[in-house]
Amino acid sequence: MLLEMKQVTGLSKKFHLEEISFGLEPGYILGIAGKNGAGKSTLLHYIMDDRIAYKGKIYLNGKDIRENHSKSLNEIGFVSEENSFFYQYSAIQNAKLLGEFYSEWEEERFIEAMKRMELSVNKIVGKMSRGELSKFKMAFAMAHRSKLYLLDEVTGGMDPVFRKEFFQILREIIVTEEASIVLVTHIQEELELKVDYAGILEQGKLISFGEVVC
Amino acid sequence: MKKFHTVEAFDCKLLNYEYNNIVLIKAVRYFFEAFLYLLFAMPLQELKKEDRQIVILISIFLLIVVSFYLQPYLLIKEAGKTVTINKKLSYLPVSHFDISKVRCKYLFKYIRKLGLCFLCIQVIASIVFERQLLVYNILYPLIMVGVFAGISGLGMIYFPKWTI
Repeated sequence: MLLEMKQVTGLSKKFHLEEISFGLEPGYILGIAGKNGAGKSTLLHYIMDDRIAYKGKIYLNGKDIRENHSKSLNEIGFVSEENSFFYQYSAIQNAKLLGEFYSEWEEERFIEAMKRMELSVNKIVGKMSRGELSKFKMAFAMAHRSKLYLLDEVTGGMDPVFRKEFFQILREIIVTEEASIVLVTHIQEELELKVDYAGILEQGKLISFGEVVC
Repeated sequence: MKKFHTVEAFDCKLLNYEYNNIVLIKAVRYFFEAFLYLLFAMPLQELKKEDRQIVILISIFLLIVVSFYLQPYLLIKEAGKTVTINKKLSYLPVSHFDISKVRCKYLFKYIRKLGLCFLCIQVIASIVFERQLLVYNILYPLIMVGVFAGISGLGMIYFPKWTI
């Protein structure tokens, strides 16, 4: 299993996940859906943020991510709407600043990925549209050869033509790099046609999980 | 060690990008440092009870210079708002511990330099003006810098929003 969550339950008195268990093999796309406030983004944050307390285990490539959290992040590409880049700098400046933290980072790969995303490396991040920002963050994640991609509603701002191309890129990534993708989405069509497995969250609980059969 | 080197390389690039802003921050810091040099040039023996405010002034200036020294490593302005740099690094493969450790290294290097400079000034002033050197002349700058600059600096590193 590339990603495995075992009985993960948050310890916060506020909203938290409850008894989340699932596994994802390399080479597959898992779609996560649910109403607003169901816990979809929270699930991704449980993986990304080591300050969130929970019981249970989250394994990445068989290793507990909390044993060496920063090392685990080396293999994860996280694309969300959060402000995790420097908005006053260009895409390439951000890449030069932040890319070196990853052991597998390659600037040439970033430039190639940006070309594929049809985005200029010199565009200021703060001036990008929502769709362009998602593309830039995806290109950044691809440049450090992530093994696990966590995509939080990235296709919302993309035009329909590019969205089709985007899913082709995702399929290429999981085949060529044996990566896995967890895609949080609101778009029904994506859940039905574009993913291999689907999970439905409701009030922090995974009420449904299974293979998508077309 | 590699992570420390990576954080330092990141800091170096960021300071390069922020050069214009940092020049202004440095200018303000040097201004207050100059006042501190003048204040430490007063031998401690010369300070009477009614001059207590000088010590308060030194404390405040030390807080200011440390704050301005650390600010480029802790905070950045973005679309008119001030955000912590740690937030930008929170999802990268580097721990908060490693980032803080590098910031502490910068802080200790700075307060060591400040402490030594103020110590020299105080010692020289004491010998020249008072024709004596007391142990208080040595402890006074070291304690002021160590306590006010050191502790406040550590507070700013671990709670960056304290920084001016």
